[in-house]
Amino acid sequence: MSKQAKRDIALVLALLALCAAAYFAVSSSRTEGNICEITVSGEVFGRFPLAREKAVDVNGLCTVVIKDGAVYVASSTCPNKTCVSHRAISRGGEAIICIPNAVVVRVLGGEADFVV
Amino acid sequence: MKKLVSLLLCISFCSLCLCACSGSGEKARYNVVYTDVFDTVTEFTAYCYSEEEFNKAAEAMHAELLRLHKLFDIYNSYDGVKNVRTLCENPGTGLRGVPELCALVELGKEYYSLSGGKLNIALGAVLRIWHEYREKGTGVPSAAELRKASEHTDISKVSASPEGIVAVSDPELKLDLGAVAKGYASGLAAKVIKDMGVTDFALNIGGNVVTSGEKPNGKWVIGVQDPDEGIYAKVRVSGESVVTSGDYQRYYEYEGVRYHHIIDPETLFPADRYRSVTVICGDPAQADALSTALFLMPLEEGKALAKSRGAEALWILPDKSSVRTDGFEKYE
Repeated sequence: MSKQAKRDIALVLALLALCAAAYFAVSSSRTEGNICEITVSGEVFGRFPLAREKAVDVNGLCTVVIKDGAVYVASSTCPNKTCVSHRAISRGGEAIICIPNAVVVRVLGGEADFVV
Repeated sequence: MKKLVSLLLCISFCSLCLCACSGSGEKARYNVVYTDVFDTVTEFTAYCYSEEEFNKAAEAMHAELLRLHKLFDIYNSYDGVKNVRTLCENPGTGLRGVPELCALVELGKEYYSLSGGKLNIALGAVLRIWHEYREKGTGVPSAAELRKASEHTDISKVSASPEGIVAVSDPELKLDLGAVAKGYASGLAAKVIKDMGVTDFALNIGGNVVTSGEKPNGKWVIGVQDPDEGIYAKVRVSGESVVTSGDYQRYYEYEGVRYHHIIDPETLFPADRYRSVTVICGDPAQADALSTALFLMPLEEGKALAKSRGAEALWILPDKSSVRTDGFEKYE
């Protein structure tokens, strides 16, 4: 094989790799998968993948637990505990809201913009 | 070989272009959440050219919601604000210069007759009792206690005159606009957002969704919650409102029984015909009033009412089966 041909092949491979990298970079930024976002008074506190088990202390207001691909509020300092009695959520658009503490836990991704 | 290389170069150049283009000069998605209006969560999502454009619209919209929240508040007073509490504490004299309150009372009275008395904005005296028990999270009000309160729920004692005066002639009657206020407010908030030049948005005030325009990849997708777990159905809308009334939205449990917040004015207990009713309608105020009215009405009467208002609806029954109006499917 000539030097020229080898260079061509190398160039083709490099371009293919670049295309693949660009494709994955774009597609991964578009699909958020199953991630939950916690906000306090409208400010983002943090984002966490539902795939990883975790207990999150939200500024001492409540404890959010991620388990088995779903997220729920395990305990809260609020008076009515509506957030604690809410079932675990896992689908994009679902949310658990604690009005007294202004904490919102919602699942990002999925197709639905809101769930009502 | 050279031809192949140049072809691949072309393809990769084009794909790089596509990648780059998707990131600039287009509208981006912005989102904000408020928890300080109507005792529920409000979420605003829009596609805007800049964060500044979004923030301006969001602030103006939020200010409008705060104004309406204070106006429709039945429990609290605010400096310099004449609101529903003022009205109920000063029966007979009436309130002047509250056009939104006037319009909402008129809508409530209209839906009282449309629903055969099932949707009653004068039911406040009864709803207050349920509200107290729900806040405590324990016990159930006695039938006698509820019956006594229901003596002061006659909607004919509430008037809204064409001159813009709202009055209540029973001193013990309490207005409760909860069944209609959020939808009506969402319509006014949407108008503010549009006036700020934002056209592609969805606003969700505690289950009352109003939409405008579309997303870059199509219509807004609103999930209808499965009363027990996950999502029951999805609807695609652009410009319509979607509202759900469900037994899972506000409730408490006592001795294994769930007591939710939509009270049947005949039994004075939570209505149990359906798990939820979802309404799609062009007008956000009608959508909200309809969802509560249909939740309380027998199925056939509800279907007829939805049809007469040009709305579509989905009823989820206690056994989790469902009934749809004829045109609901075209949104799915």
